Amino acid sequence: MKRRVRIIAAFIAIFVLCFTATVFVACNETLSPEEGRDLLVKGIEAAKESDVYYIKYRVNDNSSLNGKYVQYSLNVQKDTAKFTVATGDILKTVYDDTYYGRSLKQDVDAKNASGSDYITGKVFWGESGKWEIARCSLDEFLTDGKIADYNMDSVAGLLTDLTEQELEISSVSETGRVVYITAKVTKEGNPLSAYPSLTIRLINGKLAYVGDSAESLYINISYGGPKISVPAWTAETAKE
Amino acid sequence: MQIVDKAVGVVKDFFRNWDKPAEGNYVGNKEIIAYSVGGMGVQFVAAIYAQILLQANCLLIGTVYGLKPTDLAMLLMINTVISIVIQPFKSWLIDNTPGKQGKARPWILWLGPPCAILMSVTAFIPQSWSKQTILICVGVLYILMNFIYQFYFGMYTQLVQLETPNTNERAKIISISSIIYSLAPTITGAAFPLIATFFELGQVDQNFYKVIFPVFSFLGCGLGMFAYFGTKERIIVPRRQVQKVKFVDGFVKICKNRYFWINNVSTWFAFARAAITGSMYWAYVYMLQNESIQAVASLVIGTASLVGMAIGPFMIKKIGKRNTVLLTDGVFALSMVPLIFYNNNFYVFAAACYVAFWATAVQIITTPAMSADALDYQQWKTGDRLEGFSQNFAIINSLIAIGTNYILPFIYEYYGLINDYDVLYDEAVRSPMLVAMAVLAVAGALLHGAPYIFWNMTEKDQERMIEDLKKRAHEQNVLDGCADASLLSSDEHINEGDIFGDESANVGDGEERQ
Repeated sequence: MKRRVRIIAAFIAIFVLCFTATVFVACNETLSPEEGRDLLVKGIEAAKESDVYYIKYRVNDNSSLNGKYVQYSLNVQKDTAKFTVATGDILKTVYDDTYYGRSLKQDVDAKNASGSDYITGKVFWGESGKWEIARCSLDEFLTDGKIADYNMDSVAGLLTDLTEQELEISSVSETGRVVYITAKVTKEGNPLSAYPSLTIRLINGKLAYVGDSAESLYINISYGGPKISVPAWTAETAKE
Repeated sequence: MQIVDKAVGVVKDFFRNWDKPAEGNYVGNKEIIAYSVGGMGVQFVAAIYAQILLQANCLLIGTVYGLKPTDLAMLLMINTVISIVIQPFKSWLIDNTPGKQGKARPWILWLGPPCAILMSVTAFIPQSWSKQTILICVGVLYILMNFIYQFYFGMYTQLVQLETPNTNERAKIISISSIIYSLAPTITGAAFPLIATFFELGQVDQNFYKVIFPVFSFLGCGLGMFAYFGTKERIIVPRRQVQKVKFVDGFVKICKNRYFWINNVSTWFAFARAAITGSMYWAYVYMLQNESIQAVASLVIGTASLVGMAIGPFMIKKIGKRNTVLLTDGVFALSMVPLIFYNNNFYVFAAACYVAFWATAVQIITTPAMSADALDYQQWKTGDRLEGFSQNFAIINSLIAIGTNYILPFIYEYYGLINDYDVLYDEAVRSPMLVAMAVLAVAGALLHGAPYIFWNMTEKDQERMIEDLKKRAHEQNVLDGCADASLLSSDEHINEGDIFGDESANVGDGEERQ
């Protein structure tokens, strides 16, 4: 009798485990395009309000397997930022980094540093072969040159202010904390209009991913990122 | 002074039994060291294997190659199906190993190099290739590599079961060897993050893997050869016995062995138990983000395994293997409970994992020791040594795994981890996911331990079975006209003096042999 009770208890436990798994699976809910549009608008607003984000933007040419790719990433952590252009091939990936933040002059011990040893601005690898710094604000950094194409305003802007005709939503579903939207952008001049079908994802109510089914377009946004260590500057230059 | 004398005594005893085993034992210390050093090699290979798992928390496959958890689960399912299909062939190979070197040792020699080559190649898949191409490459390489690696690792583990028929000596060898070979994961645990600092993106930089994979897999393969060249296999068999078991007969016999069932049912829940501990790398990379502290933390956490493996034989001696498993699974479950409520602090996470790793390390001793006991029981019960056939249980385990492999990926995707692992930098995504994983780990630990409630073979029972097997082997040798022949497959004459002992063997609830 005791043995039977044990076996029954074991099976109940297994059942509970399977049931829990089933609950996870069963949590897929289909939403209407209108609901999807509302969630997307809110998701974009929430994304723009965030002062911590990490965007990875990659456009792949899947027609060739030449082993080369370029990825732009922008990591913003409140008052520090890092913009990276990663160029890869079969053997090695090369990274070109530009930083924003409070940087200490090289060869100065942090314990003995005075205020003038620190400069806040854009730190970049100069032609002199040293880390150079140009004083600027975070907003200036984020709208400077190529970085402007990959900041949150630009990325979220790809899906902002689109009419129902310009953003044709074909399906919306929600699983757990993720909303999946399948859509097509028809607005002329919008870079996303080059893709016949887009997958848009919101996680925890924020815009998190835009890509096409072939993954030739890949934009991922997470609201946290790797810690940034701003390099020590060697030479102060005029802002570029 | 007394301590010095004691230490000198221990060292003297160690070298006295360097070539010749201590009384009642079968294995000299030289052989234990060879097995242990070989184990370090196997563990180096295992450390690389752990970097190529088809799991979302694998940094190379998940973060660097960017494969989706559901795609990985699908690959895992394909791998499982293929494993099921080729498992009988693998079992047949084990039970029909060519040559006279034994069942396990030759495979350690033959399988190390191809395993290292396949592992190394896995690090060189270009990221620019389409996800589908990467998925196919990873899948093909993984299926080949996994078959060879599992075979290689399994044979190393099985070797200790074949080195001695003495269950306590087995536990001792497993304990000593695991303490020595755990140096390997301790070294890699500290070295990998330090090596990673030389690369731009640390542990999510593909160049890092292009360096560590070839270096450590070939180093491991080389050291693993010690296990082949320095050991012998010793099973108790009549001199002229040639074992031939038909597949169906072998499978039926194995299925009637309750101890195999207990060992295997328990493994069905290992995936759930490891939900959190398997994500330790996530804690390092996405929570801690400090490679220097990670190196120190890895070393400290490595001591958990050391303590567990050292203490294992003493726990077994004090409370027996069964109770040791029940206790450690209970402790494991308790250690995961705090993470349900508070998981965003690396140090709380690490402390919980420390206890869990300790519990798992104790079971590094009990699990193979109990598998060996189950094999001895099979031989005592039906007269068959079924090392290879016992692995056919993996077919059932694999079928179960087809379903369970999807549970963790469902949790990941439910909380937002779909194909880019950078979401784990976001506490709002990571924290609730860890809560679900901690709940799963608690359930997994309890379910992992539950089958052992039904284990009723004591250590004394196993000793009686071995004496009975010796007696039967000797009787068969007399009938075959070779009464002086060795009772061991290694052809050595060790511990044969008590073969005429008059204790009759009874196991568990007074079970008799067939």
